[in-house]
Amino acid sequence: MIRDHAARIKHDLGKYVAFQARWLPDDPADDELREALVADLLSTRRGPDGSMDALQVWDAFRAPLVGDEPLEEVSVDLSEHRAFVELDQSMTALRVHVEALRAGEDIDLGLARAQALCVAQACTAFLNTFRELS
Amino acid sequence: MADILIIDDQDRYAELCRRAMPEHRYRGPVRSFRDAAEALGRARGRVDLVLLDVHFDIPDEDLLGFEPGAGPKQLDRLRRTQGLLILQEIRSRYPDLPVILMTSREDVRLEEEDLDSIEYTFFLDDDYVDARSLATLIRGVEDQLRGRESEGPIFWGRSLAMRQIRRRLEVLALGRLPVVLFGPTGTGKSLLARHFVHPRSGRAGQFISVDLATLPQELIAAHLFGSVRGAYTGSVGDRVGAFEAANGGTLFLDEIGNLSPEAQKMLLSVLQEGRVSRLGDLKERSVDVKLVVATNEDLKKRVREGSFRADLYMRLNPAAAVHLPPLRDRGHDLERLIGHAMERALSSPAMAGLLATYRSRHRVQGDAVRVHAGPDVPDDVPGSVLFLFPERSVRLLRAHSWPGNLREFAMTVENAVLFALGELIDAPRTGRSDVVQVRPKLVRDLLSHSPGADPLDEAQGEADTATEQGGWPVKVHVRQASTLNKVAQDCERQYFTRLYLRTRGDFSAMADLLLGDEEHARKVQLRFNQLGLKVRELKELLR
Repeated sequence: MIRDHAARIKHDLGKYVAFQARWLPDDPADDELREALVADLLSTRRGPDGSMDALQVWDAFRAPLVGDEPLEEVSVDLSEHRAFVELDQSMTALRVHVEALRAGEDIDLGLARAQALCVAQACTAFLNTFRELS
Repeated sequence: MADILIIDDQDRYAELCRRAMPEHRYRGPVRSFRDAAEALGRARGRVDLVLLDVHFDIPDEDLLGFEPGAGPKQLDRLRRTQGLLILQEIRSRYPDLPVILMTSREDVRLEEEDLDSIEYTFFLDDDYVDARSLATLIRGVEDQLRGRESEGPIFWGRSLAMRQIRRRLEVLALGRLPVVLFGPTGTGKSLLARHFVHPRSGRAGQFISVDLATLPQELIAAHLFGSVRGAYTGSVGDRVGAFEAANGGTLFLDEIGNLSPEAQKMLLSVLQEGRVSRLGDLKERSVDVKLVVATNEDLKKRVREGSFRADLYMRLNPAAAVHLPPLRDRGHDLERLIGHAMERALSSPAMAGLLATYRSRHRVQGDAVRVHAGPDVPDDVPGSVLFLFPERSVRLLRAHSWPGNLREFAMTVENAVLFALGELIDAPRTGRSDVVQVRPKLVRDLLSHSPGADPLDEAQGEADTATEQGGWPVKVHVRQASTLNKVAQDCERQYFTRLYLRTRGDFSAMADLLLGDEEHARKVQLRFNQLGLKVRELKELLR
């Protein structure tokens, strides 16, 4: 069911992509924010078999939606669906921050945090679309 | 400060909570319902609220509701709704325990679960939680808890038994039938009648209280029903009785068992007819009174013995009687009860004057007062004085038998607070000047005057000094035996017996006293077995 898929995206990606960053005050210290973003973006999903970064989590969810073998329940062309496109674009914008963090480069931490929060909101909006349809 | 149990398959919430809200005490995270049930059992009513995640990625066999042979879809759903299943189980065992579900209400609806009707369940306002919103939510729950724990001078606490008593009294207060309160002296029967039953009875008349134990038998009837001039020797004028005075209101008769047979007959007549005649007067006056009676006697036994009228007993609505527990049975609420009693004591005008002097001498600005009982010492909050019952003082109160129940308890705590403050007013302060600590020695001194004090403890000057170093005094009779080992075992048996009686058979409390950890109750129990101590026999000593 696509609604369940969207619920999983919200839980596995939306909840954890800004999990620690969301708890920080509005103007956190740089090292604190960097530590939170590293945890949120590079270890987004943690399980007994190790962790996945935000891009890997999204790629795993994205494939059944618009890949060669879409979910059976998908009857609309999601590649043009507004909520999906916004989520996909927000992930594309996040990609640069994830890769830079992985490489240990300096990044605009405030911008990365804002983008992570944006992804979380897009996950909620994506689920809400299908919640309303069901 | 709240005592919070976190049930979550990951460490993340726990880590963030500890970092962002260090003022609370956290347990866990525990990963499954089985672990949660164990943790709640060990905490023995001390958990204030539960933070519960919804989605649990845990091994199949740890999932609540797991059945062998379940397919991937069923398992997926079990994982996605695991928190909701755990919630239902917690509710069935702890109906009043507040639970914050770490999800939004909308997301629960998505799982087609209707939790609207479940009391004490809270949801996140937003889809994703942050420290500020969670802190606000926890504060709101704490306020609610405080609101239902105590009402004015009445402390209900959190035990299910006391919640049930409250509900029952609320219903009985509204009805026309009498209310019977059974309970040992000092359990708050009069307080409940005056401050709970009467205000909820919907009656505009007065609350009149009569303690039948303090009235001479020959005057009881005149006091209750009134009299006219010359009705009895010394009756120099007409007198309005308690029934008439309470007309339209509530009449509380304490120690109802003290009624003479004649007065019992007259009371029965008033209850049957709703009319009262003053002694020596033929005129009847109709009265509409909510009657509340109390006793610490077994009235049923008195009926069997023939000293209390069976028909009057039945008129008192014994089927709906309320039995108030002695204080020693309310141990789970002890820390909170200490806090409540301290707050009550500190609200008196006399205490305000002393407190002002203390603040001025020790330069503590502001006018806030906080209270705390238990093992942790809360951080200072600028402008406030903290009254602290440290763990060792709490243990002394826990170990006391409280023959005078709540009345004795409230007086002890008030004295403790008063003397602790008084001692510190002129003393030079070296530590935190915002903390007024009630030291164990002071508590021990106060308890030694109670009829419930252990006479062996009183006779132990030297041992008392030892307790200041962290121990607990006990006197044993050293008796000869064939080996040193047998002598030692005999002493140990006496010591464990005393400990059993002191803690009223609570092995967790014994473990706490001996090993500083109540989770080692089983170790203590095993030691009892090794020493050949029979718990069944010891239980008899507690009766």
